[in-house]
Amino acid sequence: MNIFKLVAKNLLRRKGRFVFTLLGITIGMASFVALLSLGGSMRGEVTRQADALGANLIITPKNWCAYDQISILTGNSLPESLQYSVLAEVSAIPGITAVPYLTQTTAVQNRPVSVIGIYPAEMLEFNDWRVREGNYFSSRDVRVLVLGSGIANSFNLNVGDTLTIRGENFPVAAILEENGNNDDTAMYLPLSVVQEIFDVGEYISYIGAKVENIAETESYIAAILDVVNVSVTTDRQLLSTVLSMLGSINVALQLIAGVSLVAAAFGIINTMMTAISERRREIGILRAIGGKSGAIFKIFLLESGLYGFLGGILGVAVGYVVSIFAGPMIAESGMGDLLKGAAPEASINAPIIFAAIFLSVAISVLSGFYPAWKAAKLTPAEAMSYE
Amino acid sequence: MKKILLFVLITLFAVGCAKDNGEAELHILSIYNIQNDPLAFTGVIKIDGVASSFSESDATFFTVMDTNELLACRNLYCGAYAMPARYSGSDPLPELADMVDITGSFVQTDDGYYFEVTELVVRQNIMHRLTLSNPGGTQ
Repeated sequence: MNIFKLVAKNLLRRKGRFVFTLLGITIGMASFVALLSLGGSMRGEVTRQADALGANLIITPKNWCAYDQISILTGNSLPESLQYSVLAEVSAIPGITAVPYLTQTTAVQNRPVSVIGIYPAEMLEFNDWRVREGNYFSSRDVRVLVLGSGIANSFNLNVGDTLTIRGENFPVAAILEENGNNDDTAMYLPLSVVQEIFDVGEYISYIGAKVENIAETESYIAAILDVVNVSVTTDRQLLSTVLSMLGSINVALQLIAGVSLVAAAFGIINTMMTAISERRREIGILRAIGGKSGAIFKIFLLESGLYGFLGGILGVAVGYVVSIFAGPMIAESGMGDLLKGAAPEASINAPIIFAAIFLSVAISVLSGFYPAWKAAKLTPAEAMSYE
Repeated sequence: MKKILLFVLITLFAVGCAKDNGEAELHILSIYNIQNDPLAFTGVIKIDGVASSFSESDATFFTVMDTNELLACRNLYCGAYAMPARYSGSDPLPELADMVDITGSFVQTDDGYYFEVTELVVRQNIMHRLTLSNPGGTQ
């Protein structure tokens, strides 16, 4: 019988113990793989949304915190704390195209939905919107709604339907084509209408600006700060703020997954120690018929390594399935605000698969090292005299 | 081996049944979600927040602030929006700075609205994370 057959036979000798030990490492690896997969997917999604933001510069009030700035990416409602007059001052700077945003929240079918006040014609050009159906705003004060494609699809809304915002009925005049960012998950009204119905006076939430020459971004920022007392953030800075927050969350989640891996490792140690205790006489016989301690060491190390290999493969498969189901749940949660418009998709690739299996085998081999060493150092007399 | 498989299958089946038999959960909204247009939310909804003040004239009325906003400003008088709520059930009203889950619906009145609470769940008190300074002198 070769060593691999012997290892397999030993493992399957106690099928129950084998299954439960394998489940331990499988669950640990599955949580690790699921978090790695979703983390990568969320990172990609946030980057994609930032790329599709449209604006190079975001102009906000000075006292806004990072959470408010993130809401720009998510499209959530924001305080109306920037004076409307700032828009004219920024727009007057040569090389800058600026558009106002006033983001508020209403409800559709009892779900919170962003309603954003915009300059209709300017926004169409600024964000390169295309109208999927219906007629886009005809003026800056027309009292009709334009919907992002995601909102229309989610709530099964069509052109001609009516929605009530702050007690006033607004007909849906048009639905935009899918844009791939949070523009898809908002409803739009002309700025003056939103200011009036939400009673916010001459205020807006923030300004998005495009610059003529991207290489001169710093001088544009300086020019803005010369004329108005505001905070200016580039789209790259915004992205890096969100990614750093996402990175911290990912690290915390991976640490939790790490704890389950450590627990699984102790499960393997426990299983192997029990196996040694049960097989002392067998070890003694092997040693008595000329089996080297190195061979004994190898057998036990291979047994624990095999747990890791099988657990790694199963963990990758289970982790992938979990991440498929967990994606939509995350989109529903608070973290989903970062990913408005798209649930994180399970994203798994060859490096993740190989890294997970390698990690699983490495942890298992390390866990098996002490039991294997204990088994290998038994003398035939010690082993066979065991009752 | 068959026993183990049977055990795993029964466990999975039990977990699945427990999940299916659970009541249809209401989506929990925050005060932040509803503050711009509360009356757009119709029928029974569930909101979480923090009890931030109590009416002196009517013992059934209290206000609820957004949990995240309150934890950010750490002051019950920081000027953030506070939703008026009314609870006339048998349970006692929450204490100041109690985190609550309230189920109910909005009622429109001549001078505004309030949230009529039909179910009140008090989770924990976060007073130790807040300050009570009231720079304006009024609530």
